[in-house]
Amino acid sequence: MPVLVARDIVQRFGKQEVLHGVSLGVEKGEVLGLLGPSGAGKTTFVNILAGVAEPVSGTVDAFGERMPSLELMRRMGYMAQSDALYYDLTAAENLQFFGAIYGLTGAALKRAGERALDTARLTVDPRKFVRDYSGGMRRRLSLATAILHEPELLILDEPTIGLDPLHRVDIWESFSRMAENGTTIVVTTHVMDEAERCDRLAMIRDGVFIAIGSPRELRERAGAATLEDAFLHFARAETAQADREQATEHAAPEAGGRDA
Amino acid sequence: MDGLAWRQFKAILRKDIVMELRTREMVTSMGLYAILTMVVYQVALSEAGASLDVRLVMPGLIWVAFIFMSLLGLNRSFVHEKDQGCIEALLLAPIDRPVIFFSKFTGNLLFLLVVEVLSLPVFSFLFLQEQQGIANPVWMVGLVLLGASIGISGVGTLLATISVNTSGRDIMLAVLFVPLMYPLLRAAVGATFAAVIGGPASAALFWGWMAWVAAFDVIMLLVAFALYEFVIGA
Repeated sequence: MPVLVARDIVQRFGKQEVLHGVSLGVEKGEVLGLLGPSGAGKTTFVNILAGVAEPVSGTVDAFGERMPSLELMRRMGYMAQSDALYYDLTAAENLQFFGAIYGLTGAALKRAGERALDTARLTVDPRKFVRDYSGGMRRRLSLATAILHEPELLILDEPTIGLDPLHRVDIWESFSRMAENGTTIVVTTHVMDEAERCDRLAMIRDGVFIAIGSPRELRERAGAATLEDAFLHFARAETAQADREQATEHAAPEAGGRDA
Repeated sequence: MDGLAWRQFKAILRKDIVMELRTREMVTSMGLYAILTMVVYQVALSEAGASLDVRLVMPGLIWVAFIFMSLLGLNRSFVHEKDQGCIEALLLAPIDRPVIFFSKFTGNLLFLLVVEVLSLPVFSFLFLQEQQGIANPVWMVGLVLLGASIGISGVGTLLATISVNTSGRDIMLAVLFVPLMYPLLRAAVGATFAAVIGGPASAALFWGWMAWVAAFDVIMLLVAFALYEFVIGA
């Protein structure tokens, strides 16, 4: 049974529809990447998956239960594009705060903090406030707070923005280890070499999934050497399909008129 | 409140106090506003002469200053949560929304009381003559401060949560807050007047107004408690 299932998700901002009835299932221990350009609807979709936002229509089930649910939040971790850190606290104080919110105390909190910092590849100065950290260090601390309570399902929105290539590779290796240990990961990215590391990819463009499959499957189906070429192939196919449908819609009334 | 909720309450309150001790944003802005208002009052009353018994207008002056001063602090109470997206992290944690409300409310109440307690001696120094003491025991004024501050912080925390997501949040909070504060302001001024002026009927008058203050606090805290889940998730 999939850990996470989204069905027919529609989202609108004002009159503009930004997700057009998208559906997706994620299996336990899978790393699923949402790949698409800026404005494609990736963040909107993961916000709905995480329970930050409610869709206009459609449902999300996590661990077989309907979202959003306070009880399910214990089993989930979410890292937004914003750092979600208190800049006037130290890294340790941020970890203590978020740990306490998740019910961690004492030695368990200390162990969880050390493990999370190790996973995020971050060494912290105990006296340094977060406002004095570089952007990359803040991202890694933000990741550490998201995984502090060892969530079974981790939703990450562009987790490696602002990181140098070495840290990016390190963090993706950590994701792989977490997935091997049973953590399900949904991650948004627009970086192709990161997308290659996912078990499965959902390519998203203009609020619809244009292709879903493993990176290798997608390249083969598109007859492309790279994921970037595969994305372009599926995007063009989607555009051509939309054009054909539009042409059919325009042609139908004219045909009706001639018949009359 | 179960064990986890109590630990969450303490964690949010401790975090707010530590951050305020480091930045002093709320206390400094409220304190400066209080002092500047008193200076303006002194200029405004400078031509009244020695015949004016300041105690007659003191309750109104104090509470007008405290209401507007509290607006400054309340406006800042959710800025840290909002600016770096921490409010989303809190909302995605397994934490009951009333726990967030009561911890933010307690923090706001503490900061407000600190500034009020520090500004009252300054007010006395600037305005009260030697012969013009407070007629009744000082604890009566303290009780009004505590009661009214509970109402201000309760309503203010709820409204600050609403206004933090709006453009022009400073104006929005003032527009919502001041009309709602009218009954509490009236009762607080009445109770403070009874405590300061004294007289044979002052005890009955004082407790009558304090009953209004207490009723306002209970009703508004219950309303805030009931609405908070809807408000913070909006």
